Amino acid sequence: MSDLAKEEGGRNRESLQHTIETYFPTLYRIAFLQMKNTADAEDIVQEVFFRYMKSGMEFESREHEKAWFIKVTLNCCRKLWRSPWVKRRVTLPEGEERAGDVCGETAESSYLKDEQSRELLQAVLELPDKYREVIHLFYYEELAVKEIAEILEKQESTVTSLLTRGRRILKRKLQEEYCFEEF
Amino acid sequence: MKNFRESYRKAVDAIPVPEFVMREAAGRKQKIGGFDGRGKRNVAAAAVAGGMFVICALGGVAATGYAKSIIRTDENGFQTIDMRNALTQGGTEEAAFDGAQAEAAEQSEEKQSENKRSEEVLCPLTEPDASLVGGWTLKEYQSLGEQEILTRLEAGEKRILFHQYDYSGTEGHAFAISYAGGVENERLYTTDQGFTYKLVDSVEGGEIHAAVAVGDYELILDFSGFGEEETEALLESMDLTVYL
Repeated sequence: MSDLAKEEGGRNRESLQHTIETYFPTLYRIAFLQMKNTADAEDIVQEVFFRYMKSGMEFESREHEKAWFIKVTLNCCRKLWRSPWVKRRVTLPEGEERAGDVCGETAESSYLKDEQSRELLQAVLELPDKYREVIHLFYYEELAVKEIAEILEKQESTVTSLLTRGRRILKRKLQEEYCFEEF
Repeated sequence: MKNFRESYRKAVDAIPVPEFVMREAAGRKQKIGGFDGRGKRNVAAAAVAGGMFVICALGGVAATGYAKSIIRTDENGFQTIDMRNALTQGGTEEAAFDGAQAEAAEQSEEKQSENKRSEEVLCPLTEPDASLVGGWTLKEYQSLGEQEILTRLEAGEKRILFHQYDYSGTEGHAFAISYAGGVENERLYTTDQGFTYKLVDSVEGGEIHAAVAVGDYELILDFSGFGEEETEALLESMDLTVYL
């Protein structure tokens, strides 16, 4: 249980709401980037908070709490990947399923402004799952290699290798337009 | 050269995140403005004794691997479609729902008319607690094909029509139900079991309509002569876990 919940005398409605509001955007974005659609992302986040409620977990720190949520979210994504529903899902023809469409952009003006963002996001979405995970955790969540390794239950050297290969693929897709900081 | 971290953060921040709201207050008045499209679905959270459910405002529960139904309302009534059809029919839910509406326009009269067929069927079926209305004066079941069961419950002048649709074993579906005179005042109600109904009122008055998707089933209930609190109590008394 987070410190906030303890201070409030237990896992009451207000502390739960605070926890959900704190992590919902982060977990939704992780789930969305893994599953590439809003419905699955919503379901996964729902499942994660349900597990949180049932688990009665107590956390040593905010970092520990966040890492737990991210780990459970990624595990739920993997579980859904293996489900018959996802396996039978029909994909749109190549070129029609775009990051912008999946993101639900509706305003033409915002589409034009964020074309660069859409192309970048599309490139990341096209990465294999194992690269996409580490790229997001490193570049967006700003987790260290060690922290990513703990969440994904992999060796640090494996995480470094995945980051390197993911970055190489992105450089090729994005035509060397971006500089990537070292790790 | 652009910085990847900064650009990636900007791109991810641009992803629309659903609005999070706690349990919708009953009786909140608002006209239906049509479906807002992706990125603006509501996630309703309801505190339950001993646990908490975070429920999508579309009336579903946590993913079970089933092609989940999406229920939306418009000025006429309810439309439902499975998620897979929503993706494959032009890649947009709007196109999918438009198709469903055109298809169902032909079916709506038939579905709303009195169907004289009556068959005995075995399937999961729940109903509101009769003790809340002092017992049913009429209770009638009709099987309308392989997928639909219509239950008619009367308590004096008050009436409930309960449509139950079974989509198990189907590749997908699209369905719509329209109410004469149209509907308004869309709102949500989440039960203690954690299931969220979409509720609307008939424009002409006197009826409340509720819709929910549970597992392979969709339930649409038409309450005639019941007030808001009575309707909520009746919905609360229905055990929807039988459909999981």
